Amino acid sequence: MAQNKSTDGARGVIAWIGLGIIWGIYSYLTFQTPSQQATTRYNLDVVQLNLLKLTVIIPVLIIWSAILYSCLKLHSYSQIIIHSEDGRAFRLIAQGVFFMLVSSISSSYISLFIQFSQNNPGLVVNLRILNNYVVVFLALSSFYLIWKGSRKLITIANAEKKIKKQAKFIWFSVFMLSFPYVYFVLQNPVRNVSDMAGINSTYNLPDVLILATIVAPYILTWLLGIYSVVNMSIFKEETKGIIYKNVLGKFYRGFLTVIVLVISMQYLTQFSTFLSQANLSIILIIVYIILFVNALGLMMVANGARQLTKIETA
Amino acid sequence: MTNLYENILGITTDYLGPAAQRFIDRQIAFHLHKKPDEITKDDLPNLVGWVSISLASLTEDTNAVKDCADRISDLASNVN
Repeated sequence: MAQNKSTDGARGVIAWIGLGIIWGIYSYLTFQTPSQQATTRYNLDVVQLNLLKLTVIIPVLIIWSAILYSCLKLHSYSQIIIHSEDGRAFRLIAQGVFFMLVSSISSSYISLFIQFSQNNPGLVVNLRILNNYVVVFLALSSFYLIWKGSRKLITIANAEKKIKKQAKFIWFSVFMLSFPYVYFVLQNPVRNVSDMAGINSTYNLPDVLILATIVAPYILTWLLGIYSVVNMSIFKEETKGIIYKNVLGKFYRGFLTVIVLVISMQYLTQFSTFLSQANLSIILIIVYIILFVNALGLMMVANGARQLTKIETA
Repeated sequence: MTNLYENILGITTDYLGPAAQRFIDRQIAFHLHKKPDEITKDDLPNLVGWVSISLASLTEDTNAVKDCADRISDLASNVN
């Protein structure tokens, strides 16, 4: 156990150094991106634009750190109890959270490359398509692993019947969320191409491909996310232990916050026309709310994992 | 597994759920330097003290900590 702890500690240090390097490169590249388009569009001088970039890269560091922190805490907890069924369940959940980090970093870097490629419209289109696919694939992988882990928790609690009873409610919820989402996607005037100045196309794909390869996987991601949250909630209800349940509650509420944000983000993406025309302060407020809620949800997950670890070491 | 240990485990499970066995085994091994099936009624006061300290570090719910400690203490007179 002591050896595991030191290995975990070393891995943690390497992970934090790695994240620092990735963020350092990201920050450097962010300040190197061409400024002309943004300065014209928002009527900013170079100093103001650089200050604006600073207000983005710092929250990005906070988000990446929050994801890495919860991933490490979950991994460390799962390693302590790895020989038990719940240990294996929590390890899958930790792996799912790791995919969230990979998704966030990949997407941020691809977005940077898009900014560097503004003189090559063909490359911009391809990078946008790539970004959409990377994000949807990693979100799906992430929630698949979290769902798989939460499913194991249901098996441990012998609560398969309870989740079966909830199935109709879950499918109905996903349907109710999907219906307006598909409607908004099909109403989005820049979903395929954009001929509006300063507004980029959301998907750069024909409708069939948008629905089959972007919208459908996102709806599946939501389904897995909602199933995961319900599984965790049932595990919390079914498991014994006043103190243990209390800690699990924090963990579950953190994931609930994250899945609500994932769903909201997809809705928000459909309003790119409005967002492109909105003034800078509205865009910044929306961005900061998203970053704050995301960080909050992840910190709740991390706090839950930290307290679960504490139970195993007290 | 002794009757006394099973009773202690049953009580601790009400507070720590699936983590209870690992928790109580750790308290017995680290603080009493015994195996779980070697525990006797004479060990209870010492064990209750360590369980109280450890539980208090996990929760602010002092009633839960006191309740758990009292229930384990009561085993001294209730279990053969």
